[in-house]
Amino acid sequence: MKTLIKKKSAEQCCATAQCCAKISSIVAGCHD
Amino acid sequence: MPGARHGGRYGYYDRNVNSQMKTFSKHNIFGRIRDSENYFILNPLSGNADILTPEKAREIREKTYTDVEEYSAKGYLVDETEEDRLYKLKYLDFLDERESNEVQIFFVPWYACNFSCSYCYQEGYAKENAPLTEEVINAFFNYITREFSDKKKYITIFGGEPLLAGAGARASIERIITKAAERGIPVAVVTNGYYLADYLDILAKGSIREVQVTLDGVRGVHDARRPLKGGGVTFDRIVEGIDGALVRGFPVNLRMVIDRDNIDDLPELAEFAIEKGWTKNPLFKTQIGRNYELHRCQADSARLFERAGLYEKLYEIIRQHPRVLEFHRPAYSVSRFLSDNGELPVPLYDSCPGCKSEWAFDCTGKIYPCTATVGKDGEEVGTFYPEETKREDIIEEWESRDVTTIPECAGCSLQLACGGGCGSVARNRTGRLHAPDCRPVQPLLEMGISLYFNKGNE
Repeated sequence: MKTLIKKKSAEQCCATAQCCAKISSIVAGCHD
Repeated sequence: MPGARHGGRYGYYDRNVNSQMKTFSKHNIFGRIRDSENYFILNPLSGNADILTPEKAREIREKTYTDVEEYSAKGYLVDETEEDRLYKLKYLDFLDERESNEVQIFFVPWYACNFSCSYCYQEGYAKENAPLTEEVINAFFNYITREFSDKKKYITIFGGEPLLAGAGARASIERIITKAAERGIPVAVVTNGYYLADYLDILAKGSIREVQVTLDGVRGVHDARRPLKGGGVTFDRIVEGIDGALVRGFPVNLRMVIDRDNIDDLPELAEFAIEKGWTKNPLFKTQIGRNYELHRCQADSARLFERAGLYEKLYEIIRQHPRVLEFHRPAYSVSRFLSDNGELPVPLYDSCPGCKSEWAFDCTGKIYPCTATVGKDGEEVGTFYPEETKREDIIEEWESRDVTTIPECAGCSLQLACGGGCGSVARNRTGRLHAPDCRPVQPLLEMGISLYFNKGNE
């Protein structure tokens, strides 16, 4: 069993992804 | 010692371990990674996700676990009572988190539009042609300032098409943006992009959170699907608008609405965006919208994808054209999040923001739960003009919709990755708001983990 959980530091996270942006589009994940 | 083990449906009991009943968690999602011999197990409640070899996967299928301690530590094998307690605790966390979340307030200044898109879901709406008055705009701002006084919020200007030509339209949009700026409220705009370049000076008067623009492909494909009313191409002007917005520092969210007619154009649009330098710009992001029947049937429904079918096709395209991922990385349920963040998102008890973190106001003074319902007769939950009214009973029905109130979600192992889907779609399909709009979580994870974790070989 090989875990996929590899928590990154906040700095790494912001550098590699837009995960902190939290900007909703019109769909906001609720419909297509 | 198989003889010492007793299982229920997913039950597992090993007298030699700790004399406690451990069952296979009802929130486990287990499947085979697409195009791989490897498997995955993922639990949105415990927040764990693992790749499994075929041998380990066989243990799960046969309930003959050899790594009981690890499975227990990761929440794959659980004491049901303890898991139920965790489910309730995390539900309370979810409600607290949502309470503190930013509210997205849509405002529709008019339903008029200069485009004639082949799939417009607002086509059958009764249009209000009266011009937007200053009185309505003032009433809107007075209402949201008071009703959402303790909330972080932003306004999304929607339509119809908000950025139309003409002095009247420009003055109205400028008034909305200026009033929002005076109150420190950021603004997003959802536009077809045709007049975007002409509106950049007006947008600069506010704090622009995002401009959403749609291109359905490169020039020929886009122009055939999204022409001007009465005919006329639109692609080049939209591209000019996107370029201008990026130069001015406005975040752009490019949406491509997809069905079978244009999906094969995705690699070409991706190359176009890459060549333009858009994909390297941190202000630029993308989304894919599925063309689907929201409130009414479309004339050519054969071209529409079901959700899983769309993602199957995207998977195939990405395998053939990996550079598409530079343009857009589909979510594939929680797969992309897991890849980007190295952890799972918090359990999703609800994926419908209507009357919770989303509201929609329109030029006629009506209030709706969300963008899917705004402008549709009979969907209003109140008014802000000329008088203020609230349908408390209907609002309560929307507010209380989540996986704990949708009966069909109760026994579903996918509920905390799905969230119950869109309330409007669910009600259109079943007549009940508290019904599920199921997401094909299982196949999405099978494909997504394959794409983002190299078939489980990472």
